[in-house]
Amino acid sequence: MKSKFIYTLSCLLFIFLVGFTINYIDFSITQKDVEIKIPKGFPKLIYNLEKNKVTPAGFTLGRKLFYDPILSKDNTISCASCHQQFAAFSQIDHALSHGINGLLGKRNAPALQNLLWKDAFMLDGGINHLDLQPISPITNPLEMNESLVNVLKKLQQNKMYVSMFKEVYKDSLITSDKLLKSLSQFLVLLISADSRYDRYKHGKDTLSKDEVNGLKLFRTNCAGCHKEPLFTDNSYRNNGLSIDKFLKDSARLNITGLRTDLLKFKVPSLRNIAVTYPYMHDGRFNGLQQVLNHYTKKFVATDIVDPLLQKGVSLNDQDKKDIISFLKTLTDKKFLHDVRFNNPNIRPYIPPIKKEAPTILNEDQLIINYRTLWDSSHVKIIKLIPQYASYIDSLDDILRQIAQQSKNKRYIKLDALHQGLINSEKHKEAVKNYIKYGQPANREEVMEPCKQLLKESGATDIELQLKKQTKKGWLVQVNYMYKNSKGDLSKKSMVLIVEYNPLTKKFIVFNPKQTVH
Amino acid sequence: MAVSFNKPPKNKLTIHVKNYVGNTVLNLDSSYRNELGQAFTITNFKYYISNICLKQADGKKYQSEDYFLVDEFENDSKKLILNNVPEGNYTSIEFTIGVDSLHNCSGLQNGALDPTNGMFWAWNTGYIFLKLEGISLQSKLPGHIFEYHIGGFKKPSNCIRKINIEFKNNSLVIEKKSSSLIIKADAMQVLKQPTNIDFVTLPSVTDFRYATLIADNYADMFSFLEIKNEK
Repeated sequence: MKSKFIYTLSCLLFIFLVGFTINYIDFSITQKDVEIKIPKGFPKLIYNLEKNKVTPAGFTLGRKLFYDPILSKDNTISCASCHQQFAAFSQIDHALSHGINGLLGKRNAPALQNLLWKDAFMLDGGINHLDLQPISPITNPLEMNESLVNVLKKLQQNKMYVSMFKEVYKDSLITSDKLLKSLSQFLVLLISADSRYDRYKHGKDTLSKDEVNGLKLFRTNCAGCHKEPLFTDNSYRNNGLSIDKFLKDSARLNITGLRTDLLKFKVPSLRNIAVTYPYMHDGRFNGLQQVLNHYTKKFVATDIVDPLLQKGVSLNDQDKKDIISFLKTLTDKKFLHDVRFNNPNIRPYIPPIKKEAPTILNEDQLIINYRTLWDSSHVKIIKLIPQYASYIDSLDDILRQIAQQSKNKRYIKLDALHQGLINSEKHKEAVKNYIKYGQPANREEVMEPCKQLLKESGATDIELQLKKQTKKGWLVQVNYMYKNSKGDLSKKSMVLIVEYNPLTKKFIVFNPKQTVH
Repeated sequence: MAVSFNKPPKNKLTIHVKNYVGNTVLNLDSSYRNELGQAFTITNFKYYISNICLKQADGKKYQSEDYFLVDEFENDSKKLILNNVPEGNYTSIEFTIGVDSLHNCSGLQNGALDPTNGMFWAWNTGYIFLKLEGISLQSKLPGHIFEYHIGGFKKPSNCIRKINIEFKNNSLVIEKKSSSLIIKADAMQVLKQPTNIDFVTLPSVTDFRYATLIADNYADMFSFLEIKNEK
């Protein structure tokens, strides 16, 4: 009876403490997730990955920053506000990007993809390095309107960020290069090269007759600027759009000061074009049909419209339809839904499994089912020790199932088995730990970072003892010998606080006031 | 700034930069007059000094890789410290105002070149080489401010200027002890010769437009004051 009481109590505790974390998608990033595979046929990289090696922790930090409005002056706008994953990190339906206080920017937010192959950033190419690009939207008064110094100050005051930066850079001082390099670690992984077009090119998929015809027409009429496989030649061109009287955007002229650069914008990639509407630098066209209509109209031959367009592009209605069908094959669904790039702060809701009509099973079958459930829950404990709660959850599930099955009939053997199992030593210990530490954890895993820290600082004869879990974290009593600069050995002891970082699934030593030695 | 605190510095040279307006030491509370007689006060004066090269009479050179950001508000920033300068008698110094194109295209950098120093253009990658801001009642901008943010490393608006200062009849002796070189930076020169800047017509220069006019002005902003050789 006593064990049953403890068991019920632990179930309740579990629901109270961590009940909402079980069914969510796993956001943790492994080394395999951050390996960069250069797609077949792509040119040489422009970004130097040697100078900023992507690590799982660095990518996780960059992703958190990308999705965090802390980068804006009033903490309302994040990078992701205008760069949404389902739109290939552009923004659907917003012709111009929106900043803080409802301010309207001057240009359409471009898609973020294949940035490793980009020589300059922004539609006017004003920025010459990916690491420097985020400074522009952060400081632009029409976008995030924040200063870099203030962003660093806000991050330094945030415990979670301090611990994450420390994990990546082994130093808890947050500087501009650490901030921007982390963002780059997320951005460089945004590689889109698995559309139907790509698979067709590598002989892994087929395209319809219309699509193949569209590709042919594309190659003769559009590829002069939108060169495969990136679908841009990274050049700046005047595509014949009239200047907007309100925006008065003179494009690349603003950067170079050269009269010949008037109204020239960077040729955008057409990958994922179907999901990045509206189109053009100011989002003036809503559909691809309008875009093609623009390119087939007769341009007044002026010296400033791009020479490739002055000859005129001639396409009939069927040609346009085929080109649009082809452009739709450039949509890379895997990229648009890649879990690695999801917002880690919003946890997607997974609807509960539909209840099936109860089937009547005989007691023997029930025992087999029960035994399997029990065993698999024990396997789970061993695998996911920090998430011990899921073990308790499985037991809770079993209990509910027994209750369901034995609603009308009492199963004596099943009940006896249940009693036997919850009286087993293995189970008793799990529950005991649960009660003692709140959210149970593997002692070794909690103490390991303390040991590491002490070893790094030169301590010897380290003794560790896990005390208890508090609101701040696990308290670990440490005793060790320390040799000071004069060479005298002295015995020291202190209490370290260990926190669990659910994003990286790692334990981190966190001592706000005390430092080692 | 690239100063190492771990080892005792050897053959140390400290270049003291003294900001002046005309013949008087720059004072943020004083009022001055430009060539056109317009009164003004200065609220901010910052600039980059780089590629410092010390030359001896026989043609021997010492080139430093360090970057320095001189800020009127930061007294420490007005001491440019070079360590491990080879021994010798130097007769002139050469340096550039600004940041060379290599460092403008190298992505993120630290120290004097950290973008948080407020000397970086986010929208058009590049460092601001020199910032001179102040107030003049002649300016029609809000608050009667004037602001000259000069930068740009690409043609046709390259604002990097090379400075060469001869030590006249003095020579800078670098031995095991430290020496000091004192040079003058005249903010007034930013506003005159060859172009006299009018606060009415040109109160603000913050991109390539007119930038080279001011760059040509500041090209002769530095001059020699004094050498102190400690023995």
